[in-house]
Amino acid sequence: MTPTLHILLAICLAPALALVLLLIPSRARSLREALAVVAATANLGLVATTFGQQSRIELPWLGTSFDLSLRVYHTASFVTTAAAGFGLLVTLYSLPFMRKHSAHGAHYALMLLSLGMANGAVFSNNLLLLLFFWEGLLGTTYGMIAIGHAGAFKTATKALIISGITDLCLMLGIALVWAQAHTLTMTNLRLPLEGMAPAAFVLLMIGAISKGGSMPFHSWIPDAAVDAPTPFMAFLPASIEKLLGIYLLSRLALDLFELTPQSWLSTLMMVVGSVTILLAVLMALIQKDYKRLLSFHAVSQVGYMILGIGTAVPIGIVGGLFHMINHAMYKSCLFLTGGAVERQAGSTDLASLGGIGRKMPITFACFIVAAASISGVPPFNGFFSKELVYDGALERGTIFYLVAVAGSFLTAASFLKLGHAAFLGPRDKKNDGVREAPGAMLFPMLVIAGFCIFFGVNNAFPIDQLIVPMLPEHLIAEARSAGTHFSGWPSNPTLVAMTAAALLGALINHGFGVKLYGSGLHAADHIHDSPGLRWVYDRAERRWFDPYELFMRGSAYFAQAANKIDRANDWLVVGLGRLAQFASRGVRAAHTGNTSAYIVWSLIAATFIVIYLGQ
Amino acid sequence: MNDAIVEIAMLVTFVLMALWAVLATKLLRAVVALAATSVLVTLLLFRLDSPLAAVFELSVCAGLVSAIFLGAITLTQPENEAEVAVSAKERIRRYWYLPPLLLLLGVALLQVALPDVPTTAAAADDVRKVLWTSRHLDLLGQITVLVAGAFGVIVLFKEARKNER
Amino acid sequence: MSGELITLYVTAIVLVAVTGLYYLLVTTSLIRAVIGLELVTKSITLGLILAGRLTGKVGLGQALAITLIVVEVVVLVVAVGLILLAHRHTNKVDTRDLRSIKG
Repeated sequence: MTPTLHILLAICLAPALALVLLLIPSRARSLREALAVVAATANLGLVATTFGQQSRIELPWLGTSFDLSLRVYHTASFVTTAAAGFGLLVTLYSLPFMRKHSAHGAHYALMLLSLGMANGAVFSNNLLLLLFFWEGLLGTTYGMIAIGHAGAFKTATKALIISGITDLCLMLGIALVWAQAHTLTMTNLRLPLEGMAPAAFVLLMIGAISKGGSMPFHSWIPDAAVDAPTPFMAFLPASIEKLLGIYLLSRLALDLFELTPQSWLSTLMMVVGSVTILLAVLMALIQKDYKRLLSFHAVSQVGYMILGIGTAVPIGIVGGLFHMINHAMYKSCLFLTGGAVERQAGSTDLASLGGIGRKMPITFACFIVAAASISGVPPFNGFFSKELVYDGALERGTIFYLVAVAGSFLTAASFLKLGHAAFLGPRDKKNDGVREAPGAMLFPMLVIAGFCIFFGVNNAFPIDQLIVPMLPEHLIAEARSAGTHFSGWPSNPTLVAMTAAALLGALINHGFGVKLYGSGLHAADHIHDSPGLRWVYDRAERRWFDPYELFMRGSAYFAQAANKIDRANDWLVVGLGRLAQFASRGVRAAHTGNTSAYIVWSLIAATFIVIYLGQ
Repeated sequence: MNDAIVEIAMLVTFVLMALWAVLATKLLRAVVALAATSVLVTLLLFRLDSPLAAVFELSVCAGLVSAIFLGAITLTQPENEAEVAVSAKERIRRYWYLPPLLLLLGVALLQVALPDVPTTAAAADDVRKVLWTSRHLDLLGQITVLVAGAFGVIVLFKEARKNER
Repeated sequence: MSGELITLYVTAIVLVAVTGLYYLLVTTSLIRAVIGLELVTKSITLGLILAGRLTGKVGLGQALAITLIVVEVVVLVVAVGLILLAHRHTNKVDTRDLRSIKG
C-alpha cells in the first residue's frame, strides 16, 4: 500500500463505514454492531501500521497555500493509535451498554465518524485542514450528547456554543498566523513570539485547551456527564478530545512558535493550568454523582498537562505529554466503571449506591487501579507523569508546584470519598440483586487497567519510546546535556516525599471526615463547610462561575433589544412582501397549476439553451 | 449488408417498443415495454462498441428501474379494472395524434442525407482511462448523488411505514 | 459507418424522444409521466454513444452515458418518492390533483 492510499484510507474508511452503518435497518442491530467493531479494528490497524513511517502527502487545492497537506510522523502515529485503541475498546464496551438505546445506529456511526475526524486532525499538516476536522469533531460531539435522552439537546447546544466560540478563536488565530507567516503548512511554521504572534498563540491556545476541556471552557462537560450516554464520556471528553487538545497545544508550544521559559505566554499557560487544577478539583470534591464527579476530574487533570507543557522545560513537557496518555487511560477506565455501575445498579447517584464492591469485584478492582493512578499513587502510571510535571513546575516557581501538590491531595481525597461511597459502606436493600457487568464491558476496563499498571511499572517503555521522540531535537539535546533522566524512579527524593505526605494527608483527612459525619459520602463536607470556601461553593453551585450561564443571562437582555429590531424588520419585510405581490400580478397568470403548461415552459427554455449552445 | 439489416431491425423495434410503452392501456404492460426498450438500447450500445455503458444500461435501467416502478405501482394502486375501461376511450382521443406524427416526422428525417464517417474510432480511448483520469469530479458527484438518493429512499419509506401505523 | 445508417439512427433517436415528450405532455398519471421521462433519457443515452462513435471519442461518450444512467436512476428514485408522498396527500397519482402552486 502506498503511503498516500494508506493515510487517506485511515481518514476515510471509518466515516465511509459509518455511512454504510446508517443504511442498515434498526432490526439488524447485531449486523450494525459487527460492522462497528470491524471498522474500529480496521481503523486501529491502519493507524498502528503508520508507526515508524515518515512521509508527506500533498494534494493541491485552492492555489498554493491551502494545500490538502498530510504528514505521517511519530507524534501523529502515536496520538492516532491511542485514539483508535480507545475507539475500539469503547465500541466493545458499547455493545451491551447501548443495546437497547433508541439511537443505537447513530451512536456507532458518530463514533466511527469521530475516529475519522480525529485521524484527519492529527495527520493534517495544514492549519486550515486541521480546523476542518476540528469542526467535524465538534459536530459529532453535539450529536453524541444529543442522542442521550429527550432533554439532552440543551446540554448539546451548550457544548456546541462553548466549543463553537473557542473554535472561532482558533479560526482567528489561524488567520493571524497567515497574516504573519503567509503559510499555513505546519512543517514550515516557526514563528518567533513578537509582533502579532503572541495574540495568535493565545487564540490558538484557547482552541486547543478548550478541546482539552480546561477551565473556563469546561462547563459543558459535567452537564454532558449526566445527559450523554456514558460511552460518549469515556470516548470523547475523557480520551480523544484530551489527546487532540493536548496534541495541538504541544505542537503550538514545541514547533509552531518559539516558546521559551522566559516568555510571558509560558507563565500564562502555567497559570491557566494551575487555576484549572485547583478549582476543578475543588468542585469535584463536593459532587454527589458518580459521573459528574469524574467529569470535574477530567477538567482538573487537563490542568496538569497544560502546566507541564507550559513550563517549556523538557522535563515538564515530557511530564505533560505522558500525563496526556495516562489520563486518557485512567479517566476512560473510570468512566467505564461508572457506566458499569449505572447499568447494573440503575443509578449513579452516590446517595443510593454503596456497598456494591463485593457484588461487582472486577469493576471495583479496575476502579481501584484507575483511582490510584489518577491520585498519583506509586507504582501506577499517574504517579510518574505527575512527578515529572512537579519537577518542571518546581523549576519555574514554587507556587505552581504547591498548587499542583494541593491538587493531588484533593484528587486523592475525592477518590477516597467516591470509592467509599459507591463500593464500600452499608448496602441499600434494593442493590442486593446487583450483579457483575457483562464480559464485553469488563474486557475494555481490564485492558485499560492493565495498561495503567504496565505504563507505571515499566515506564521506561512509554517515556523513552513514545513520548521523548515527540520532542523537537534541540530540547532532547538540551535534556541530554543536562543529564536529565525522564524514565525510571523520580530522581528527586524530596518531591516523592512531598507526594507521599499529600497522599497520606488525604487518607487521614478522609478518616477524619468519616468519623465526623459517619459516612463516606459526606467525608469531604468539612472542606465544603470551611469558612472561606463555603461562600465560593455556594456561588459555584448557583453557576455564577459558568461563563455559559453568564452569557445566557446577558443574552436575555440582548434578546429584548433584538426583539425590537425584529419588529421593525418585520414591518419592513411585510411591506416588501406586499410590494412584491403587487408587482407579480402579471406573472400570476402564468402559474396555471397545470403540469402540461409547466412542461411546455421547460421545453421552450430547453430549446433556447440548445440554440445558445449550438452557436 | 447482413449487419445493416440487423441494425435496422433493432432500430425499428426500438421505436415500436417506445410507442407500445406509450400506448399500452395497462400500466404494468407499459413498464414491461419500457424494460424492452432498455434491452434494445443495450443491444444497440453493443453494436456501437460501448460494452461498459451497455452493461450499465442493462443492469440498472432494465433491472433496477423496472423493480422501482413495480414497487411504486403496488404501493399506489393507481388504476383498477373499471377505471381502465372508462379511460380507454379517452385515451384514444388523446393519443391518436401520436402515430401519424411519428410517421410524418420519420419520413421527413429519413430524407436527410448524411455523409459517411470512417470507423477509426474503436480503440481511440479507453472508457476506464477517461473515467479515472479526466473525470474525477464527475465520479465524486455521482457518488454523492447516489448516497443522496439512497438516503432519500430510506427517509421516504420510513415515513410511509410511520403513516401506515 | 455509412451515411444512411447514421440517418436511421438519428431518426430513431428523435422519434423516441418525441414519443417520450408527447407522453409527458399528454398523460395525467404521474407514473406514466416518469415513463415518458425514461423514454427521453433512453434516446439521449443512445445519442451520446452515437455522438462519441462519430467523433472518435468512444471513451468520453461512454463515460457521459454512464453518468447519465446514474443520474437517471437517482432522479427516478426521488421522483417515485415524491409520487408516493403525493399519493399519501391526495390518495391519487394524477397531475390534475396537484394544483396547489396555481398562482
